Amino acid sequence: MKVLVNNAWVSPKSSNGMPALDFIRLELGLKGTKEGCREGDCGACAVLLGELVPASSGSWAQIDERDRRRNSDATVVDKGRGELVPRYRAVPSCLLALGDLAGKHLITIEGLASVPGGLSPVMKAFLEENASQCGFCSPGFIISLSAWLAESDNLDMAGALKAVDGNLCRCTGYGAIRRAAERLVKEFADLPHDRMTRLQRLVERAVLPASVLSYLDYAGTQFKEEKKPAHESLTATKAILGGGTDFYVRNPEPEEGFSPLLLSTVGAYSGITRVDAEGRSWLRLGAGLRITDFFASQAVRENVPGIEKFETQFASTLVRNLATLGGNIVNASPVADMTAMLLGLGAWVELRSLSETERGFRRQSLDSFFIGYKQTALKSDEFVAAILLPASNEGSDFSGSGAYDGEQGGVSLSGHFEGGIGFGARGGKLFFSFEKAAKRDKLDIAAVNTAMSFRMDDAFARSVRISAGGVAEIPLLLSKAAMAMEGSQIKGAKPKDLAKLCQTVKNLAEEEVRPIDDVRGSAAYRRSMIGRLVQAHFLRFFAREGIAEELEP
Amino acid sequence: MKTIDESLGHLRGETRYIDDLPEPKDCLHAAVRLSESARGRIRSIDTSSALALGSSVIVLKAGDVPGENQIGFTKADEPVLPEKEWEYWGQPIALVLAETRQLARKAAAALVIDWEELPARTDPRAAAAAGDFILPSRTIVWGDAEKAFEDCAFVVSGRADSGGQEHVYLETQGAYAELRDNGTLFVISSTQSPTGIQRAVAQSQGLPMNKVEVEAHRLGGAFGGKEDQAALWASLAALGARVSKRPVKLYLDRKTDLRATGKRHPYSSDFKIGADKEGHILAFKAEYFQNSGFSCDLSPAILARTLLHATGAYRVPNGKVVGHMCRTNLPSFTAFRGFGAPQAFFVFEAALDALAQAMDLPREKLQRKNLYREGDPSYYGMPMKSVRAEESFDRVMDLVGWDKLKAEIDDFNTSHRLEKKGAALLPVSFGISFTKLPMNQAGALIHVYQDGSVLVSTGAIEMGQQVSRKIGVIVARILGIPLEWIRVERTSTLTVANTVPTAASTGSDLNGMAAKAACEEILGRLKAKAAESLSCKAEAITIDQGKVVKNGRTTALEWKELVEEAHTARIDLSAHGFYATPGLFYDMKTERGTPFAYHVYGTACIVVRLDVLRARCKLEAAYIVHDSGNSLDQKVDLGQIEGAFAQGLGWTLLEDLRFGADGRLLSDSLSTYKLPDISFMPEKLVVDILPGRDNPVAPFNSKAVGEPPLQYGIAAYFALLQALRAAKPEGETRYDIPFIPEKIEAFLKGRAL
Ligand SMILES: Cc1cc2nc3c(=O)[nH]c(=O)nc-3n(C[C@H](O)[C@H](O)[C@H](O)COP(=O)(O)OP(=O)(O)OC[C@H]3O[C@@H](n4cnc5c(N)ncnc54)[C@H](O)[C@@H]3O)c2cc1C
Ligand code: FES
Ligand code: FES
Repeated sequence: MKVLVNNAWVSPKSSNGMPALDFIRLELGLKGTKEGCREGDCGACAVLLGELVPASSGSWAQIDERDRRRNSDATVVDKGRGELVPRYRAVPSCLLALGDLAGKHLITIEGLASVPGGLSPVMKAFLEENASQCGFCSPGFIISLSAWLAESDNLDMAGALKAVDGNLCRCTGYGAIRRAAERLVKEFADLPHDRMTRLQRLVERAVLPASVLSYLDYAGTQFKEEKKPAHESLTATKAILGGGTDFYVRNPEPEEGFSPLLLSTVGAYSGITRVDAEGRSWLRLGAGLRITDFFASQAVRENVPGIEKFETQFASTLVRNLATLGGNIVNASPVADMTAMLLGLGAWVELRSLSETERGFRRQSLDSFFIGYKQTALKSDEFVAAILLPASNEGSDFSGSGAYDGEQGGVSLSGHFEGGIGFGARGGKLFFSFEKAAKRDKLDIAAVNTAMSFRMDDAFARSVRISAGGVAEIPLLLSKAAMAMEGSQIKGAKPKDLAKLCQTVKNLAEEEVRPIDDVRGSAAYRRSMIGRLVQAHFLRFFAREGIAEELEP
Repeated sequence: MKTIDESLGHLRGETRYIDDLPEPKDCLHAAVRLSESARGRIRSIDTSSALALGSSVIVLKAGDVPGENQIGFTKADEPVLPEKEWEYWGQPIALVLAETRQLARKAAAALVIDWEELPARTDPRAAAAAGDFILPSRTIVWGDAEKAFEDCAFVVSGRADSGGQEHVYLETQGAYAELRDNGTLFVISSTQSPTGIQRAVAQSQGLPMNKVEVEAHRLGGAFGGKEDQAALWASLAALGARVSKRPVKLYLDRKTDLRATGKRHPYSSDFKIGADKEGHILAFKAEYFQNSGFSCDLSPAILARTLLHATGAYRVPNGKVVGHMCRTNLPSFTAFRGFGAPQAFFVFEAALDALAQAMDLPREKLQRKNLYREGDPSYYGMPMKSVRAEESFDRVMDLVGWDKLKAEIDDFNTSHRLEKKGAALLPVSFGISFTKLPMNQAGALIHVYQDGSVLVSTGAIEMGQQVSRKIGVIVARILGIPLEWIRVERTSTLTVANTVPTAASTGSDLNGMAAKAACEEILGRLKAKAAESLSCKAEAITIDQGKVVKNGRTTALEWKELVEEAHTARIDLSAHGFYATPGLFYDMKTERGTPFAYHVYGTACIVVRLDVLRARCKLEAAYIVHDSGNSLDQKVDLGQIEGAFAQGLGWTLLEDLRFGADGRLLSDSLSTYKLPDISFMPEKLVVDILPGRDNPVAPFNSKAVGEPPLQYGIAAYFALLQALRAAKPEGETRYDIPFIPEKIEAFLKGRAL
């Protein structure tokens, strides 16, 4: 394996499971990348990771069209890739597997300092605003803001603040960093949207080193040659790694020679990082889909209107760029945020066997996947291949029919699956809300979280789902609370009636949970918060109906 | 680019902290094995499985310490490695060396400790009840509080608790040690106190101090945490180097650092306060139970600062304050920016708040009425001079348009059911000087090289507070040369001896004054030489922008030439400067004196928005009016104000240091210990600097700035309390820092915690 490190190609000596931070500091001796925590919480170790990727899958219809083409020629796995786009994202190198660098462009702070003049505009803004005191956090901030310029659609203050939501500074109090960002917002307001031109511009303006352009040339030809990525065979003995953001926190210094199976390199399942459509029934989200890409997916956003609002409640930009959807589920943490959202949306999981890669898979509802504290229904030779979101089909002629008649959960199916089972109505407008209680608004693990969704069919609430995390040994679906709302009249209801409904749902939710005490909150706090957050869902859904005047916190 | 500007290197990733320094080929890495209970007796340590992991593995225990196994100085209660008993959960009990860091850590984990549990205590009040104190308690009495309470129209009493605070310097603790010729030990430490390290290493190695050389290059943050607390790691690294005869690097991973090192002292306090009908505070009493942890460390000095800031920025004619240093089986709590003062401010503001509630008076009215005024005597006998409490208080009220703001908040609160706002003011009066008198001294060494460039060495450690920039400014101004010609060197015990820690906000005051003295010495010699060359009197000579000026007119003689001439004429171009803050004294028996060179004043106003449904709050705006004297560098001072303020906000609202009843640290990672991030900070922050005044005891009438602004964060606590009261007027107040969401929820629910 080869990686372009700043301006030179390198073949690492270390094994692919070594954290990139150690590769950078110990093997390459590049000491500008700092270790502040080794658990993704400080951003001192941030680096830029460049690659060329297939353009995001686009809308549902586009995906559908693409998939139809692909399916007509089942042997060609990676055909239909379509347009390629460059991507330069900031990631925490302490949680990044070295193997994930294969064929990519790694830029460290030394790389950014190699621009002509030796001082990039981001550094200059920091210098002028005196935004570096002890300096230990500075390389990380510079990396994050450089990535923001390369990647973000929001070149405003909100975008800049989001870009550094995973970077801690203990010295400055952030005032000067904010002022430096304000300078950059002014200075770079005119960056083009198109990523390729934008990167060229950023190289010209000495934000990024020139090696970015040569890398993109190189990566482009690699793709043209249609070389299949060298993919590993899946063997049951190996540890599987999604983004590593959970794994490396638990194993900060893995044994020498550690060599896990990286989902991102599993070519045979390139679908593993993709959003696919199964007709008009399911949105199939590859388990290796990064959280950033999940929220960026047009199809996901179409399917769950407004879901992108909740992106920043999950970890930080740095972590979202690395963490995968599948990892969040397999983790089986009772407070996993994506899991809470997906549960609240009635998602299913697709499990595949590692040993018989091409055959056998089974699907089951996500709520039946969790069987105990940090325990899942995964068998030892299985992995999660995909998460399935039931399609929202407002106004379509979708007729969800039961090609499937098993019970929900735990049922093995083989190789063939028809969507649309047991979900009740799928038509009607989808309402979705997510709430999380934590000590800090950003980059904090929840004390409790909850998602809620329902569809408004005519005037009634259908398919009500309420999930709750941090209130039991597993992520819960609150079925009693949801049942209480099922079929209730929503449209035209008086605020008072909505508030009453809310109170009923809230009370049931508080009864249904079984929280415990720990460092993130006492049981009493958690129980009470679930009730409050259920109210917050209602407030979000029915603010326009005037429910605020009626809610009793 | 100014050569003095360190930050350029930071931004380019070139700055080297301890762990970034090149390692000699034969360097060994060290790891520590930590204790796993709050108190335990070691029966034996079995090293065999650790040693079996590799031939490079070396295990060192208490018995291997060649000198005195002791690094505590105020009190000999802190061993390098405990012989028989450990006294807190996370105490290093063995040192392991190996070729790689990973191997060292693995070997440390492989040690088999045979031990038995001993009874332990974590609650300071329980320690006090058992009479378990670090040192005898201290009391300051003034006036006659008991009698005054009888005259009061209103008297309230209560309790206030404040939690500890983890420093989270982004660079964890670390040290590098190397055995050099003739048995000399060379140590590089991430410390605020090179002399403290030198002394601890010398003592534990049984060496005279002249055989231990300590350097501190620069620190990735410290905030008090690398003052006394750095000594252990340096002593361990030195021990490793001495025994193995190879260089040793010890660099803590975050988890070890969190578990093993000290933090800000948690306090639990009782107060009683009384006022007359008009709201003049007549008496105040407080008893502070300082949770000191297992050893003395800096606890007495910190308690002294608490006792000397007991009434905050307010004049109180009668009172009694008692402080106890309660010994518990927790890591030794230590210096953290503010050094005992924030805890005292919080108790007094809590008392004042309770009084305002009882009197049904707005807090700010009560605050304004009782602020220190010019010439007021402090209760410890020091007349307050150049007082700017009222000035800053009034100015911040103007700045925010207080009456309008309050009306707006009232409107908002009546029109919003699920959101409430609150605002509060907080005045600060903070004494500058080490409360331990002998520490108020500093030295500096200045070389002018033949080419005219200048090298400055002082005891001031650069840890992000940009003290080197300030000292550079001082030297440049005195010598009359551009800043670019000056380099401020790292601190080494070779160049400046017997330094005091860079702490107590005094770094640039003390070291700047010492540098000034050295500069003046050299300048005097150079002026005499210039006078000779230009045939005039030395008094006629000044130097400005690198040029010699005679009677106000610039001459052709340049700094460089002058230096060259002086060198040729065999004039000494080096000087050592020394400074001891004048006028300080304190009588511990009567508890009276002048412990501070001066006070720093300021007032903050904070507005918070409470989300009643979600039981959490957002800092909406903060306004600070601060007195930073005649600033040596405005951007540096602003950075200090904003940085300290953020830490203050973190302490009051967010940072939740938690130990289990068994003494185990529960918030043992950055995922469970949250500190302010960029979006936590107020959406709007206005800092207004009061125009400078004379301050002859600091360089160029500047003022120390490191610690005072931390106190402003306390305003957030009371602003949130106001918002909560708007949401639930009958809510029961418990003065308890940090005000985390769980406590917000408890207040709203009327639930006991
Ligand atoms: C700083 C920080 C902040 C975080 N904040 C949040 C937060 O706000 N909310 C939240 O919910 N989580 C948070 N997390 C937890 C974590 O990031 C998420 O759970 C993430 O989604 C895990 O995904 P991953 O791909 O990185 O997992 P990995 O670490 O790669 O994997 C986790 C586990 O699952 C296994 N695994 C991964 N993928 C598969 C698969 N497809 N099939 C079978 N096994 C698999 C791995 O073997 C491993 O045991 C945070 C983590 C960090 C470090
Ligand atoms: S070291 Fe802190 S995020 Fe990686
Ligand atoms: S400058 Fe010290 S942590 Fe940011």
